[in-house]
Amino acid sequence: MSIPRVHYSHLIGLLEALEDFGGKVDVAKIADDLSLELDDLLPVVEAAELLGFLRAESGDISLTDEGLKFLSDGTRGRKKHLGKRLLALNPFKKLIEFMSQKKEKAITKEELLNFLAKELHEVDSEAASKWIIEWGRHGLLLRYNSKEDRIKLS
Amino acid sequence: MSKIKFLILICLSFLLLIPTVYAQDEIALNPFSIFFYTLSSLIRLLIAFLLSLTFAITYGIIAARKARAEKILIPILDILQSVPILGFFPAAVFFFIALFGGSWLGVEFAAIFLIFTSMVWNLTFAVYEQLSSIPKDIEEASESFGVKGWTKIRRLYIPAIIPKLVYNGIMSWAGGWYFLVAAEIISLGSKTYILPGIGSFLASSAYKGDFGNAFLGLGALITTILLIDIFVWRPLEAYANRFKYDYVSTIEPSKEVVFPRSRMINFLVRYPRPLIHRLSSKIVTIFSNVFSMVGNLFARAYGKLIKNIVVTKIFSYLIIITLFSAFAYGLILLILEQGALFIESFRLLFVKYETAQLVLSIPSALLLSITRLFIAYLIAVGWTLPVAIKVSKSPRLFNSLMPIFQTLAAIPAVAFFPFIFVLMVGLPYGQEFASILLILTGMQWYLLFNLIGGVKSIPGDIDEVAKTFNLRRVVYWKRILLPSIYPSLVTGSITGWGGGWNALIVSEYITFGGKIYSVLGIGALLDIAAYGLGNVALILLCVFAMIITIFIINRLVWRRLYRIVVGRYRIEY
Amino acid sequence: MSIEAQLVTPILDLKNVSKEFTYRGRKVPILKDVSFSVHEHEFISIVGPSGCGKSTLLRIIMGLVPQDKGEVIYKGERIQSVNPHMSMVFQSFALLPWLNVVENVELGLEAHGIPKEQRRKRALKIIQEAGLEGFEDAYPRELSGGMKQRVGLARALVTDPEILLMDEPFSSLDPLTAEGLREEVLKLWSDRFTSPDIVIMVTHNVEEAVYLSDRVIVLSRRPGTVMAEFDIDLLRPREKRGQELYEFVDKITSLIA
Repeated sequence: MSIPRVHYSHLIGLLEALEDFGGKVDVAKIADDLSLELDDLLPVVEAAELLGFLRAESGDISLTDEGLKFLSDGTRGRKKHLGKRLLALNPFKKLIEFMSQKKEKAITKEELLNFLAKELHEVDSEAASKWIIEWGRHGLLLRYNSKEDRIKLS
Repeated sequence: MSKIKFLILICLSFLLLIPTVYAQDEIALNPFSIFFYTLSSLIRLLIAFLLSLTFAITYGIIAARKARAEKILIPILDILQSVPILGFFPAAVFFFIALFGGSWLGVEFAAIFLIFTSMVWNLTFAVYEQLSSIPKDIEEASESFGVKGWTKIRRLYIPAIIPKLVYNGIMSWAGGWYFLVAAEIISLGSKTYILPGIGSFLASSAYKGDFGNAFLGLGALITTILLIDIFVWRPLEAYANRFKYDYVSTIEPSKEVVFPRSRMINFLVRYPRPLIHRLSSKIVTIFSNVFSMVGNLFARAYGKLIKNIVVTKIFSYLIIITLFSAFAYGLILLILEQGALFIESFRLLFVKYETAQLVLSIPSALLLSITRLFIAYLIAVGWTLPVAIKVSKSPRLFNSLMPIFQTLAAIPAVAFFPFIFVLMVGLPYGQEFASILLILTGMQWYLLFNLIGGVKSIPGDIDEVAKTFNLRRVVYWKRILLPSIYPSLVTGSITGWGGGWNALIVSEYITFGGKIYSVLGIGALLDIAAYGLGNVALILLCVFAMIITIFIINRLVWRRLYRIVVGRYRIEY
Repeated sequence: MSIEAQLVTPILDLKNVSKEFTYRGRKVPILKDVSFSVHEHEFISIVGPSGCGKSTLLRIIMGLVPQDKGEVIYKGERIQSVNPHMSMVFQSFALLPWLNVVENVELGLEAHGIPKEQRRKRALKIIQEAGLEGFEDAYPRELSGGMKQRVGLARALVTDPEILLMDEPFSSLDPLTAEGLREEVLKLWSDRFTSPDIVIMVTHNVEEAVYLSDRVIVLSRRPGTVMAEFDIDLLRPREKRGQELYEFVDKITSLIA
């Protein structure tokens, strides 16, 4: 996965629960504690790893320093922090580059779908677009106005 | 920006003068006048539609919000809906035309009024039904935040009804085109008023047996309807999409295509494809913006008006007083000038043998008409149900077939006369077949559009449940599909029969090539009364008989079915 | 009023509230003689078996639905209509689908005639506090359940209500999201300098009720009446999986069953 495919609230939920456990816990234990199936938890773990907030090794997951810092940030701070981590990911980096070259730094949904399919080789560009827009919004990188069909750099 | 709007308004008002330029005594049956005739009809339809919208929204909001008013308003609406367009002829002739002293202005008003009556009822019902079914939690939430009065209308009611207005607007326009003939040729016995328009053009060609011009006229009609579909309804549907309640899961985007690209355009011009795509999307976007701009303009103006309660009260009283006095004036005129005619027509009815016979034949005529309606209904359900299900399930089919259906729905019965004529002459009982076929054209589209709407509005999550349980087709049909569309089936049947009753007047009595073909039926009787004898009393008697019959059927059959279906099957959010 | 009197006088007082519905000609009593008080800075939960009328009770408190008998007294005055000092959060979020996030949040302000610039400013501020920054122009259909409820919360709080009413606010959310949102609500209420001062929550989740509230009111089966009141005297911050918490949960659950 190169784009996180879980909701932001799940990421936060996992990280905060992890903090409750002192920063390190067996993954099966935390799944049980959160009343989640392991299958449902793993994508969240993957996403957290992708963003650099969590480390997974031999059945345990633990908060990284980055993750700890993230949790201690306020509402705004977390968003800014998230934005930085997203930019380190290839899809977001490329997308931002692509959009910066456009006039008014804006593209349409159609252009995004084409970009995802062609440049990032996404099989399901529609689903990918939903996630990239959602995380882009959370990280204060993108704005999307569906009425005017405009995705704009923040 | 406002300068442009002003300019548009000026241009529009100039367009209104076009009919006067072409006010002639006879319809010129040459291909060149077709353009101006079509334009005149368009303008009439547009004005009638705007009036219908205003009426529907106002009436619908009052009926939905005030329980006491609802008890009177809805039955009245029921009755008005069942009055065939010819039933309004006396009102049209004696009120509007007389009011303006027989000048062309009065005739135009009369025609617009008649078209209005063929457009407005389904719109009003749609507004009323939609407002009565706003999800409870959204209504509660708005109330809890103090949203009331004009804010409530603007933020809650109007957005809620926009999808219905667009969908029913399409149906209304189809109805308007369908009855254009009856509206543009207003005839009451000796007096005939013909307005320049595509409806009267088609009727004249039919009457003269002029196949060539009839086909040309039909071509012009179809082209116009297609153009309106591409440039008006498509963008409006795209605009209305955002107002729909979306109960599909939030990760998946709504399965609706946001900008439905006209397959017609794609089909007609293959290359260069990207350019055409961009062009058609641009057109759709421009027109959507125009409509939202116009809509906002209206809303703001209406809002400013309503905000000041004193002004609103004065304004409404003024309107009521004006309407009342106009009505009274017309009534007085009617009694003074036409009173004698009225009494005379009643006398004639019972004195002359022929007319008395006609009166006595009303019951049997009714019975025969009902039989024909029933047969047509069975045929209609037989084909619309499977087609609606197939079409709603496939976005491809939907996008390509809907414009075709809308076009077909709008073709007035007159246009089918040449084809029907061939049928009638050939077969035994040909006229009966012909009338049933023609009734079908007035009935089936209501069923089809309602059913499609019903299938499409099955919430995505119910469909998903069906998929997860891997239901066998029969079970799916029995437990999920059919129960979900029962309400639309009933609504479609109610409006379909309503359309059928109205279609009787153009199905049971046909003028072609100078000859009259008719079967015994209440529609034929009405036509004879209006066009043949000009006997107002007979018109009223026939209309009265129809209304009572329709009313009884409504109460005994439809309302009961509707209550059962809504009670048990309405999907509650 | 003296400070002592102020502390003792309840902000909200329900006296013998009763309500019945007419269904197919028959009268069905939903609530019967419900009485309790709510004081300054309390977090109250109302629990009970399903169908006991707790949601109806909440709407009566809000003034959305009139009671048949009894009184709802807010700061010494009888409430006869929608109380502008209260706001409600709904289980189904109840956002207007054709308005974007800002417009939805502004709704209450717009209804009270607050001018556009002012309400835009207030809405944007609360959007930022609610963690919705970046989503101002999003439409409800583009939001996850958790985000939608955040909008519902922001909408309720932008009018600075004294009392926040919540009708099963977390039951439509997945457990992970619900936990996060619970903590947020707790944080908002804990801060004595921001609204709301009082929270009244209806829920069927007894654990959640005990974890969050100062007091849990238990309603009986229909017709609902107050069966018991529990003072949750645990110190905050509370242990979600603590033994004392579970003792309360057990006691309450056995009453409801």
